[in-house]
Amino acid sequence: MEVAYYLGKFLAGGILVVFFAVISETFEPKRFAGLFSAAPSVLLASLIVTILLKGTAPASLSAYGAVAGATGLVAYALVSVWAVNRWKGLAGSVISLILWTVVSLAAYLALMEGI
Amino acid sequence: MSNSGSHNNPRRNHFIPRFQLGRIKEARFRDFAIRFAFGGTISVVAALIGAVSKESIGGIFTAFPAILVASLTLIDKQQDREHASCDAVGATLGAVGFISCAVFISRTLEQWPAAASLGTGLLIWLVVSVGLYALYALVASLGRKDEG
Repeated sequence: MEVAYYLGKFLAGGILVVFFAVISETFEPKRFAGLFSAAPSVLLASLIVTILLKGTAPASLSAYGAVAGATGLVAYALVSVWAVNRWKGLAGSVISLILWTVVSLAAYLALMEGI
Repeated sequence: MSNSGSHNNPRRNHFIPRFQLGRIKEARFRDFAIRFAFGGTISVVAALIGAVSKESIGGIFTAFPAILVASLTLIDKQQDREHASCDAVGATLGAVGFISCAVFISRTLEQWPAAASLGTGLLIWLVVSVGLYALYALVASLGRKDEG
C-alpha cells in the first residue's frame, strides 16, 4: 500500500509535469509559455493519488496547504523576474526560493488562524 | 512553420500566443527527463512531509517551485537571461491562477464529486492565468504604442 502510494505519487507527478512542459514548449512568446511553468501539475497529481488511495478528507487538507504554497509561488516568480537578470539562472532561482519559504509559511500560519 | 516574414514585421503584436507544434521537435529529451524527475521527486517529498507532519503542511510543497527552478535554469543555459525573465513573468500570472485553483479545490473537494472539483479547479487556473495574461498584454501593448 505505502509503496504503491509513493510510486503512484512519483509517476503521476512526473507525468503531469512533463505534460504541462510539452504544452509550454509549443507556445510562444515566452511570457505566455511561462504560464504553464506555474501550472498546478504536482498539486493535481498528488490529489488524484491521495483521493484514490486515501479518500477526499486528507486531499482537501492538502489543497488548503497548497493555497499557502501558491501564495509563496507568486512571490517566488515575481522576484525571479528580476533575480534571474541579476544573477545566473540557478543562483537567482535559489535566492528566490528563500522568499518562497518565508511567504508560504507566513501564508500557512495566516490561513490556519482563519480556519 | 514558415513565419520568418512575420518575425521581421515591426507591427506584429509580440504578445499574441502562437501554437507551434513543430517546436516540440527542437526540445531535448534530456530536458523532459529532468522535469519528470523534478516533478516525481517533489510529489514524493510533499507526501512524505504530509505523512510525518500534517497533510496540510505537505500540501504547501505541492506548490514548491521545483518545476520553475528547472525551467528557468534550463532556459538560462540554452538561451539567455532575458528569456528566463520573460518565463518568470508568465509564471507570476500562472501562480495567481494556481492560488484560485487551490482555493476552489480546498472548498469543494468534500462537497463535489472529486473529478468535478479537480476538473473545475484546473479550468479556473486556465481562465484566471490566461485572463491575467490578456490584461498584461493589453496594458503592455498600450504602453508600447505611447512610446512609439
